[in-house]
Amino acid sequence: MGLFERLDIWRLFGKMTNSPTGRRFQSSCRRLVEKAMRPLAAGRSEDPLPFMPLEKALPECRVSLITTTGVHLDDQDPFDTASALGDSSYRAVPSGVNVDCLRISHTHFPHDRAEADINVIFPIERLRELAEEGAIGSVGADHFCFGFDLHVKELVAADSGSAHEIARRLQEDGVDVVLLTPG
Amino acid sequence: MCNRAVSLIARVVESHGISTVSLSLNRELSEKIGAPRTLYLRYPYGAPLGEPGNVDQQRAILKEMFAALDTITEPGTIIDLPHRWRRDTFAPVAF
Repeated sequence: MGLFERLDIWRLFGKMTNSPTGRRFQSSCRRLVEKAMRPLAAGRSEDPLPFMPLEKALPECRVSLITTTGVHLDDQDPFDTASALGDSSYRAVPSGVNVDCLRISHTHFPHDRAEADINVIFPIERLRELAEEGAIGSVGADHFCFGFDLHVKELVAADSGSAHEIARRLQEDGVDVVLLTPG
Repeated sequence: MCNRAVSLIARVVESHGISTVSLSLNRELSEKIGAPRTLYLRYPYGAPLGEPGNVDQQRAILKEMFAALDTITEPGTIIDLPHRWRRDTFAPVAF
């Protein structure tokens, strides 16, 4: 008889997981998984959603983009793609920039389509065309790009959060509408 | 996870008095977090506005995003766009 047969390893395993020790092990595992999953739902708030109805017609509106796809200029620092919780910093990309200067640093979505045409994640050229046609009033001076980010406080804290910082910049620029795109 | 950050950022920007429209590729996450106006697309990650070079498709989706500024009156609404990845053709879009 082989070693495994002699030890009757499977009956041993079954006894282990059903024993008090085994059951404690199982509930520790479950708690670990739940803790790992917690960042996914973090940021969910019971507060009512803010809502700003648009008062102007679209041809009078100034429009900017925000994306969480890790887009940045080639002379800006890439986003941190190594940290488990990601990077809550942002990059301001001037809206008139040549798309050849754009790079992507993000490891949570395939880049091939965006590298062929950045507009599929960040419609910077499409928006410029709409402004030229008069479909929208103007494009904001800057678009804002985030990378992969699981932080909450660093993003949304009223005094110091990066999302509030860019919202203030957008307000100063007179932006009326922001379109947001994920990866 | 991008969808989660999109919803969080949209809420913050809207709270500053700027109207926002968000695209989503993960409906469950968008429902969990909540954003003022969301359009959900069954498109692959990395391609919320469609296929590279397909200008008509990209313009169509942008037009739908802008339309949501009028059609969505209830914050938190998620509109399901009907487009099927690679199976739909898009006519030139006039604004």
